[in-house]
Amino acid sequence: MDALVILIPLLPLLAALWLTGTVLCGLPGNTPNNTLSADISKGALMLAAFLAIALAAASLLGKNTGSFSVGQWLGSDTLNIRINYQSNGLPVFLAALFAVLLAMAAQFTAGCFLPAVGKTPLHIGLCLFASAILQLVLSANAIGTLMGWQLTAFCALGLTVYSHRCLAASASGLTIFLVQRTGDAGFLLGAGLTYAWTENLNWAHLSSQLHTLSSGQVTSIGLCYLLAILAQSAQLPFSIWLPRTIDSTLPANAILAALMPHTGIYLLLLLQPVFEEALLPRILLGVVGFSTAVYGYFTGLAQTAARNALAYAIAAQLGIMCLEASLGFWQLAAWHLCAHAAVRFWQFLNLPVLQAALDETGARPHTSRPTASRRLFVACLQGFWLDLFIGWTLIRPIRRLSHDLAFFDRHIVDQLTGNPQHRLYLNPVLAQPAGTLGNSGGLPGKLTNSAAAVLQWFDKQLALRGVGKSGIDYGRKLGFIANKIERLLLGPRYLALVVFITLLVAF
Amino acid sequence: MGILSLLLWLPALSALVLSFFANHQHSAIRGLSCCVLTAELAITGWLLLQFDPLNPSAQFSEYLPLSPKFGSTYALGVDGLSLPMAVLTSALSLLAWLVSDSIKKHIKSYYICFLLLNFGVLGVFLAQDWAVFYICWETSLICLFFLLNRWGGKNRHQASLSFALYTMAGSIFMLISLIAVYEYVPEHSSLLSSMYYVSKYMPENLQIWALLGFLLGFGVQLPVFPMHGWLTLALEEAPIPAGILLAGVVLNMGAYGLLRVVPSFPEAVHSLQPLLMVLAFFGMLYGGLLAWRQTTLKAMLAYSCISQMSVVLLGIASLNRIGLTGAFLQMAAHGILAAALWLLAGSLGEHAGLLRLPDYGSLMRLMPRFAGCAILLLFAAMGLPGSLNFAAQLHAFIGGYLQWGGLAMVCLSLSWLISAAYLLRTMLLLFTGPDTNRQISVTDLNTKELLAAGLLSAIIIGFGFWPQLITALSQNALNKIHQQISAPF
Repeated sequence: MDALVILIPLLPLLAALWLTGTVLCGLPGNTPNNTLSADISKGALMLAAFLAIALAAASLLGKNTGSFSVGQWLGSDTLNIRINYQSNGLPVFLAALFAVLLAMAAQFTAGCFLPAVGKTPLHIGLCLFASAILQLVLSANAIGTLMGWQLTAFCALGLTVYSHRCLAASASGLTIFLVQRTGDAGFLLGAGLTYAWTENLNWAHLSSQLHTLSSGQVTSIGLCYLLAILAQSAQLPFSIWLPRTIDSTLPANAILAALMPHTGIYLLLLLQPVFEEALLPRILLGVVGFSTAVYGYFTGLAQTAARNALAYAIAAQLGIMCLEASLGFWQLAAWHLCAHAAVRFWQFLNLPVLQAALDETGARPHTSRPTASRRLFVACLQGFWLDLFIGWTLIRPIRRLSHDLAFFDRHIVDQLTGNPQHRLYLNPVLAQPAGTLGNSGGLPGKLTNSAAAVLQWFDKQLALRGVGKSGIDYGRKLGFIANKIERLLLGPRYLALVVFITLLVAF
Repeated sequence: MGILSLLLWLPALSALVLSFFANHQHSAIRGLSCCVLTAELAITGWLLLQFDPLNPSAQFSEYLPLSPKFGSTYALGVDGLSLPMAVLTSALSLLAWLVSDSIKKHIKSYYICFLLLNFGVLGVFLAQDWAVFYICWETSLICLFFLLNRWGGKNRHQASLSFALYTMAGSIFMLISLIAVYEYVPEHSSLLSSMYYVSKYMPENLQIWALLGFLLGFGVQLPVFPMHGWLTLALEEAPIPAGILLAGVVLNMGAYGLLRVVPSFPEAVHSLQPLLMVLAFFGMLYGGLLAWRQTTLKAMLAYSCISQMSVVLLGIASLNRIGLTGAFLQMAAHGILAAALWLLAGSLGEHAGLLRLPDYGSLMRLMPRFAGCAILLLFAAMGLPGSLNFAAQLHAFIGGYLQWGGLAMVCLSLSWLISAAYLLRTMLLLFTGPDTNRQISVTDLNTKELLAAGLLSAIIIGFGFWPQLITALSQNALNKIHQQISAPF
């Protein structure tokens, strides 16, 4: 049964590739009503869900060995990275839950109304996201998890920007992407330190080798991964990305807000042995988790839009999960994670029903809105100015840095290298006279052009004309001379002479 | 008859059968060729499944003495180097058959030449005896000469004559070296395995001369500067299927031959290492810079072949395990990539007309399928991570760095930059910018072309993420070569 595990992320990936192929090739999947793309997406995700449930059942019955190795992926010196999957315990149950929820999302997407660009790109994004998140959950080593981790972030960007193709969605997508990249830095650093100190990237190996590491080393690994966990699970100060997902369509919003942040908590549960050994990361986790729970609760109360309120409620609950883990209630955090993901996902998909009900009955005023303290209410409305804080500390410095680098690039590097943005990036054909290849400016471009011109002359003169064409000409001349000699020799006088000489030599 | 004999003789016998067909039976001729090439691919696939990668010796061996007096034998076998090349040959032959619809005249003789070329190339990779190797080598060159001469472009006569002059001259040097080496083999045998240990009996200066002879013979085919004069003309004038086989397989024959002879002369190869290094570095820069100057896609691709195959020479010249692995990976990568790019270049000529690069434009909108495949493949040619070319070039470059340090890095970085420059510029000229009037009637790739190009692109990306599949197959054979080269003299 262990081998089933490979099919679970593979099926949605194949569906995504198939759908991409249909779009590129204009095959029947890209029909105007999109029923075929919806069927492919639903079919793949339902099959993946069925397989995940079967694997989970086998795990419960004790039929699985616990891991499955597909083979070596990369090997160099002591680096040996295998494609390994986990087939027992929490990863399998969580994969089953996620696969079922994603199949529901596919069903919902097939039925909902999406104007403009059609549903096929959304189905592709959904399948790719499903493959990534299932890979993340089931992988038994840090590289496999990182692959899923990165791909989910790219899918989040694509799914957010896809929705309306408007400026707000693009800005939200960029914020989500940038905030999550901060977490990636932590993940990569953690994986790098793990490999440097244990020479292996398997999660199980890290747990078994912790006793060989010093407390400083364990703390360092824990702190690096903590950064990744906090960014992914929308904890303070990274909580701002979660409400930004409302710019995406409803099914995309459901999977981005109700499933994706839970992968951060999953990573936390995976690294339970590390956090049990490392006190500082654990304390930090508890403090941040508690702060996020308080922040999420109050900010959520001030929200007037259902999707925003849900997003802040999710952040608060994720904070509580971090707090539970920090206090040592790992089992409770695991149950909390599964139940919470399912409930929030259901709530998101039921928002249209809720909206319809509210339209009929009218909304009741919220009794627990923090109106008692005006300052607190303002702070809640402003989201405790976290957006501003992240803008000041992360988004704005990155934008300024990119602006400065662009300035440096345009005024110094481009001048030296030949201003490529005008010659190539903007409009390569218009930028130069029609029908010419165009010469590169700048020092390297001029050097390249001169060297290429000299070599081309050399190639024509020596390699092609010298050896090739001249060779042919000389061959022709030689053949002509040989023919002439042959004709002369065949003439009666020379023939008689040859016979005479032969007879003279013979006798 | 063993499985390798079946694989080798199937195309030759089919060519014989084809000669009895009437000229107008085009469908039957194409059908039979297709069946033969499919059977070939199936046989090489079966060999791949049955092959034991842990065994560095030749497997599925067949041995039949031909001339006991001269020690020549009909010996066939495959190891970790020859089997991937045989698979590549069968796969690319089938691909070339797919696009052979473009041949409209002398169809019967075309397919006879095509199958005989297939026989010759397979023979080169399967041969375990230099006599068989040489006969098959010459057969493949003669068939290619006819393919160029009869079905080539406007300057086909000049191209085929130039091809014949260069390659035949190279073959003569190879033959002289073979005879010289044969004289020093104690048992006077022409088996590959017997010649492996000839260095024990051969003086060093003679070893150097013999290796230089082989370098001239195989270097023409590789191609090594300055013996590349035939390549650009031949590739530009070749019909699309012949171009695919020429760029994808025939160039690899030279590299394969060099890999086979290098372990026989460990002392000589160490003495000639600086020469090989200079030729490799110069070839990389030379091919790249000339590709930068070209105004047509085919000429640009032809010169880029020189640059790409010089990476193979660099890997071999590094004489270390990583470099040799890089050389072999680059052979495989270049074989697949060059075939795919040649297929696309031919298709572009058919669908949009043969134009100079600056006269194209906006093909991204006009030919989205072509653009998708071409962008992917041009990025792979650039050595972008995630493609097989990246894995290959990285290995070759690390091998070069371990051997020559900083100097290698400067040359390699320059070569990489130049490749990126001309490939990016090609992409921009082809796919962006305004429409030109001449492209109003362009059509995109048809399903067959898309299938072929898409499959090759997928293979390049697939192996790029998992190069282990190729290295695991060839590692033991390469280790054997490395041991032979680095053994104390």
